[in-house]
Amino acid sequence: MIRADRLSKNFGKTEAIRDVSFCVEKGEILGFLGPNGSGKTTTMRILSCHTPPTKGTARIAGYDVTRQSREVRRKIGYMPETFGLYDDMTVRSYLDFIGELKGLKHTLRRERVNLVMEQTGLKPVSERLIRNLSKGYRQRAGLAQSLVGDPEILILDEPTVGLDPAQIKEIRTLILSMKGVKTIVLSTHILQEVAAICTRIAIVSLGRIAAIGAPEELAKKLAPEERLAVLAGGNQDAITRILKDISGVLSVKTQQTDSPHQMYHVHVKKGCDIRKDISASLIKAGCDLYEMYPLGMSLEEVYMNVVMGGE
Amino acid sequence: MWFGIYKKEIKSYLQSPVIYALAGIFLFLMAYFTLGMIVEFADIYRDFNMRRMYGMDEMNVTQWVIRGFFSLLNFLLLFLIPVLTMRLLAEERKNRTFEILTSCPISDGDIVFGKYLAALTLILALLLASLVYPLLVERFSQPEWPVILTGYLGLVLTVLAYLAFGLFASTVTENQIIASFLSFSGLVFFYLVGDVTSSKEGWLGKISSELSLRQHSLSFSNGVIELRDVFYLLAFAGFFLFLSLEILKIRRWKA
Repeated sequence: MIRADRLSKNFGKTEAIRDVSFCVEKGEILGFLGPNGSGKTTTMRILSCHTPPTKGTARIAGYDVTRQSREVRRKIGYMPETFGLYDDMTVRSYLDFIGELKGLKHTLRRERVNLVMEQTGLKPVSERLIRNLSKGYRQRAGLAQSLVGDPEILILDEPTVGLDPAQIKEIRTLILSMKGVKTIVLSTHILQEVAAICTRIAIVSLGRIAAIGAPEELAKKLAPEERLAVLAGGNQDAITRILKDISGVLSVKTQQTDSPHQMYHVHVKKGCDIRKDISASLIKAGCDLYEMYPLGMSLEEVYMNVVMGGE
Repeated sequence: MWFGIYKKEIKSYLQSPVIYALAGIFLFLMAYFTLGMIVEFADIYRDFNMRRMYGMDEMNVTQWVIRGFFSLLNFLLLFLIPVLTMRLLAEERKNRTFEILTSCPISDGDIVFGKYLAALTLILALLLASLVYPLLVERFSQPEWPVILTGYLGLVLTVLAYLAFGLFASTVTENQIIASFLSFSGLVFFYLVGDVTSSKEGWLGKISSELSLRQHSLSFSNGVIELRDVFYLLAFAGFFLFLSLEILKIRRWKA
């Protein structure tokens, strides 16, 4: 549905993004995750045909964003990161105006506007002037305008920024309700957000895609090391020493637990499976091994690792 | 596709109290000065000696009042148009509404054209209202209607040029005050440029009088339609509309 091939964008001498490639299949929700200034907005602007890339191409629904931008724009709904609305219009007349620009005929337009206001919870304020709306309603109006044309593809740049937790949850629920129906690309700097909504994540840092994949997959792939939890009984120092002596072990940390036995977290070099060695060594030393299992690394740890590592 | 933009602009003009105030002031000043000219004409006409002095045996109401009326209209438009056009694109950028517009399947041309036509409609409505004054003259004298009609044709063409320049100024900056100042000073420059040099001799004199908006809109109120004047005013409008589109394109590259 969306295919970006080596997109680059320069502003004078500064590179906003470089060699950004990705594709999004129909019905997927791809989340761009990265710190502020990492090039998320630039990528979104290229996809929405607002600004052309310096190099590279992007195709949306088979159309090129620079050469066939009008066809592309017929297929998309776009919500910019910071956007304004016309203060002197009512919510309904604003959505009607956008619907007209999207090429909707009169009766269909009225239907769509009503439906979208229903979906986004704008019904109670439909006749109010936009200048009198709260931040939450403005944000919803921004999302609503992207939905008016019933687009196959949604491009949402930081859709929940500046909202309170309850509003964030509502917007997320709304986006989730379109999962599988619409193809969605969204950007955020909030990790929980992508983890909660997206089917795939692209972690961006300094204008490049550092990693892309499904959340669990990404956590596994990007973890710099593997971890094992070992529950063992016996002399604590002796066990720590034994574990440290096994080849491939980077460090050992003791953890407090409720059980009478001691829990050890063993950090192991990536790609080494040393479970056999651990059990053999412990038993040889006369210690008791009660439990042993791999510990996954959380997405948050992975993200911090990628982003901090890149700086 | 430009029609949606056009409709929205018209609505927002009609909702703005400033527009009504401006239209009111405009029509009031027109009335004030036109009546002044009529009274002056009547005074001179009544006095035989003064008539001789002003050479008015050959002069008539068309030349005295109607010509003055058109140059007055033209002059007032210099002030009015920058105020009408300043917000057209500057406001979209300032309020960040432009990015949503550009994500709709319409071209920059649609946006510019819709806005241009909306401003034009408003001015045409005002010009239509200003017809009251020639009709007033008609009540007690015999102005030449063909001259009035060519005068209005000239005004419409001049308005096309002024509006294009005002719109252009509105694409240059996101500050409305700067936009209005730019279009006002630019228009005054093109209005007066032919009068700076006292003679039309020499290359400077020739070029400046060729560039002058006033020179090119003057002959219409004498009842003459010169093709080169029509061409100049249309080309002036076309050139600045084109520049506006180019600036929008450049801004997008930099966005």
